[in-house]
Amino acid sequence: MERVPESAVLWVLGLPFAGFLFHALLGGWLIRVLGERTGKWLVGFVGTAVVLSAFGFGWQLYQWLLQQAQPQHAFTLADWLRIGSLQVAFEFLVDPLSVLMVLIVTGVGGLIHLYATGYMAEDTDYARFFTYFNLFIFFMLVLVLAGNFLVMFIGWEGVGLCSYLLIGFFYRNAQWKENTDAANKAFIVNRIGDAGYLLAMFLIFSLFGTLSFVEVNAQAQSVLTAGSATALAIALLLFLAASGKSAQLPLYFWLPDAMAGPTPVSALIHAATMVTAGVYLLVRVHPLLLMSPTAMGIIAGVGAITALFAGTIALAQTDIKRVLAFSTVSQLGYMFLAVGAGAFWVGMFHVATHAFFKALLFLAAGSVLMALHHMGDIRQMGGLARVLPLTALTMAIGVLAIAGIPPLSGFWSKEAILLSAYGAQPLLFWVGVATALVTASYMARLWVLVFWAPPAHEVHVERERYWSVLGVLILLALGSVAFGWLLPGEKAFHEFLKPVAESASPLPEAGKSFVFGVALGASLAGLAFALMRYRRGVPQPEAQLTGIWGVLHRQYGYDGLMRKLGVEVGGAIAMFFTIIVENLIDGIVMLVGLLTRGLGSLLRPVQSGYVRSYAFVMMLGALLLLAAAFVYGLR
Amino acid sequence: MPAIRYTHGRMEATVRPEIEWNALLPLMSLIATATLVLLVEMFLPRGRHAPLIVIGLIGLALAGYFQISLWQTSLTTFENLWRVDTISSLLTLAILGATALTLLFSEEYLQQRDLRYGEFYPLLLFASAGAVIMVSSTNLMVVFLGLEVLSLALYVLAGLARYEVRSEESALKYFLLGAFASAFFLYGIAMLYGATGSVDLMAIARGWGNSAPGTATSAMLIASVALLLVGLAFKASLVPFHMWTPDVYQGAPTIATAYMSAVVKVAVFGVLIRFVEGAAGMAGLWAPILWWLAALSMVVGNLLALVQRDAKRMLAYSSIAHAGYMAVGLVSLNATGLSGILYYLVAYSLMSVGAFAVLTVMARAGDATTIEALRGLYYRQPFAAHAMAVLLVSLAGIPPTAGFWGKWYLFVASLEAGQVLLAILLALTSVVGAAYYLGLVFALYTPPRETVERWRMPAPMAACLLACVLGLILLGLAPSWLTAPARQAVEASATRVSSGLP
Repeated sequence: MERVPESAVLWVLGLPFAGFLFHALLGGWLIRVLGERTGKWLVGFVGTAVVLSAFGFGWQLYQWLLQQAQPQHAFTLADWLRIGSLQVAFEFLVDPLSVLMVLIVTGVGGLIHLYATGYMAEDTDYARFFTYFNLFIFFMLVLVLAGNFLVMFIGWEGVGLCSYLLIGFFYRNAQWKENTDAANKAFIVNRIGDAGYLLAMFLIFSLFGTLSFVEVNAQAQSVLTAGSATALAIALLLFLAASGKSAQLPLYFWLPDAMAGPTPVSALIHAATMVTAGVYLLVRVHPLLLMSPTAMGIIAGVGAITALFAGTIALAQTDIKRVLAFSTVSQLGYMFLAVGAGAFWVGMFHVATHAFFKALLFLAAGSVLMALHHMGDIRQMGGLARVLPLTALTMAIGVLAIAGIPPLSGFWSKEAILLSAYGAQPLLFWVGVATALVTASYMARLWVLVFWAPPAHEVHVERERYWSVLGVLILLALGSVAFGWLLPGEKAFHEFLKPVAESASPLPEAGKSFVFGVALGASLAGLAFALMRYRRGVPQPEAQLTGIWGVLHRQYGYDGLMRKLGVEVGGAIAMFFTIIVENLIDGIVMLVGLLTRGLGSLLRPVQSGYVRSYAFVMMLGALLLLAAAFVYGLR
Repeated sequence: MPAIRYTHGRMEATVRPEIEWNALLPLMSLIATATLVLLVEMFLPRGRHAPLIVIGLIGLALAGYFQISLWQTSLTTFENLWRVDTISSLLTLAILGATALTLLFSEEYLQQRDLRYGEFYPLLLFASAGAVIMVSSTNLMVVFLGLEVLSLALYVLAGLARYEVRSEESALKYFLLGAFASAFFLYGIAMLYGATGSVDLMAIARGWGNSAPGTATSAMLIASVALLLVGLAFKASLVPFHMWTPDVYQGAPTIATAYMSAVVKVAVFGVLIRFVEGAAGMAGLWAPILWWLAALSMVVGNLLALVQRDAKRMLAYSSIAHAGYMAVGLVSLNATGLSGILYYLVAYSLMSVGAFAVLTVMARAGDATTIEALRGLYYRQPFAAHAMAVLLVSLAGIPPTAGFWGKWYLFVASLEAGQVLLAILLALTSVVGAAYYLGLVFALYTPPRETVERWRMPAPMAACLLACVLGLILLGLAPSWLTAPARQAVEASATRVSSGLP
């Protein structure tokens, strides 16, 4: 076996980290010294260049991997911990799965960095933005390249931290308290998922005696009994972790609020990369999941329900980014549906295509927001296609891709997902089809209301003006068109991932044309419905958000319920503990503290300051020591 | 034994001993640097010290380079008077590192306090040479020589602020009590020679094996071990031989305190590690005694640190507590414990030098180091406050800093050795420690009562603090980088000692 090109891996990880250090230590100073224009140009250039260069090294890894007979290559960078039987190293794993994610993270991530140089150009915290953004890329790469659970946890927590910092990026103004609230919400809700991750990790270590992915996966069949309660517990805890990070029921509700961050952040972290980490985790350890069919069923079911649930909510959202946020939750549901149905590579396939078209949709939305001075209510928009032609065109491509219109990328992955669901359980398939219908309608609704319908008010619109913004939109649009049939095709993609993420059972060949027809029909119906309904703007009573629209807009009351549960019930519990802690435990601690202090004060007078008394104590000590030595020595 | 024949009053060596000069290169370059600095200082205008610092740093780097090229070698030379192995290499590098850090931040303090004595720098380097001698020999006469070189330089450093009563008092106290302790140590050496005819630590085990219980020889050996322990416990400031520590640490100029808190600990615990290895056969005698010294140091050091109102004095008491923690490793007498001490010594050097370095910042405000005076340091000098926060967190033993792993290894070592009570004491007293360390962190970030001006931090001092902080975090994230060689060193040394090799 050939050795892993370790230097390439180190470059991939090191470049974004170096970028982070550069911005953190020098960014603000450079902008001050070189002047706004040159300084920002330099910071933006370095920020983008490190990520795109990392993509170059990722590509080198990919080419190397294609020539290898063996799919998985683990290598240890350094020793980390050795405590008794717990031995953990800084271990990385290069295999098709991790290399695919590296390419997505650095490729799409690099483009979004480039976009951000334009989008954030007028922000005063330019260097801080790129500091966090590069750091995020670094942690995301640690997450995907990790060779064991603990190293992955570093990345897992790191991206969570960056997500928190970037959601609350605009925090300086007192009116922006909502942003910091949203950041806190994301961080706190993710803690629940992280608890699942930690418990799963502890359980795996106690059973397997190792945390390495390769070893755990290889021993899954011998250590775990199929269908046992332990296997179920591990799988469900991992799913809890994944549903926190990937915004699935019951923990999805932090993601829509996370749109408070700048739009490139929503595109990169809350659409293309970080939120797919949960899917990645489950695929990474899928041999564990396969030991519990019940858990697989639960994952597929929750994924399907989330997809439909979030999709219907998206129908009644009025903020451009919130529509896209619920759409992300819904699409992530699709990915979990595929994973739960045992079609692991299909889940990753949708991760890849989704990264393109969802990043495109968000960035196009960002372009609209820039033109409208960050006014995001789609009921107030309309007719923007004339002012923002390129944005309208690229976004239309994104809409068609997510709706699953052939031959755009979304079609291939969505069809594969529905096919896998069809093979697993017809009910899941029909939920998936309903979601496809809903998806096509809310996306078409969004596009029609923004670009086509007659404008509701006269609003001042600025034209598209940053080449970096438009260039990235075009590149992502090309990716959304070509991925899945041209570069690379579905077959090639499947071949590449086969060794590490093969589906549990082959996709059914028999129903292929049936699934194809139904899915396409649903998508076309959805598009047609929205075109008809919204071509003249939002009809009543939808505009007032009454009736069913209100219910949908308020997320069926789920978010409110969670808020109540979290803030009021949780607050009551916290209050209860506060009372106990403050009065009882604190009392004890204070008492101990007072006693210790008292003891300390008692000892104090011995320290008189006189050399003679010090010498006396020393002499006394020496005599005692001598006496003790003879007592022990003669015994 | 060297064969020496006396003929007509003239001395002729018939056998020329083989000398490995490489083994001495680190020490020689250190002494040469110190001498050079002393000479150069004569020709510099008063108060201009930059060339001295540069020469000193280059010399230290050179010594460090020679020591690193000796890495993984194990040899004795000069008829077993000089010993090089991984333990001595690790400790020498720690001493050189602590000296370099002290060189980096001292100048600012000397200027601010108007102590423009260039002698500070050669004295510092000579003291380090003494410390290096101490950790590079098992022959007690050589160790004693090193101890005196180190101590004499330190007495002068403690009294450097000679117009100040506190500093003078500190120097005198240190000198008087130090002389007292040296007498014990020397007496112990004499007893050892009387009992075994050798002054090598490794002779203790042999002597104990050969002497029948109840004879005068065994009594002398017992007395020797006890007296040596008294001398070393004084230098290590273990209770009840700690009384000098708070007064000297507080009275001495803060730069001298920073230096001695780190380097003396490294040197003395280096000797103590050799001592417990050599006297392992007599563990039944000294282990219970060290048990008490460790327990008392942890309890008394932490309790008294808790009631201090002066940060410098608080850190002095806390250094007693840390000596107690390390003594736990000696009592355990296993590879985890002894390698844990090596790890702890490096970590403690960084924490202690760094923490006192932050206190030297206060020289700008009349050198008041009370906790009240440190209040709101963040608003005057944010970087110093951040660095101090990390250092204090590490001193308190909270992960992910090196201070945590140091305590952890000693804790595990005492459990492995079956010393459950000592392990519990270590954990409990650490909690008390956290209380006063974190209290100080709290004070640093509390807004000051009146508006304060911002202080500029000189670049070398910033570099020193950055090195301490990064070192602690790095050692905390990847402790194996240090513990793996330390463990190898201790195990190799134990095998060598038990098989009776020099």
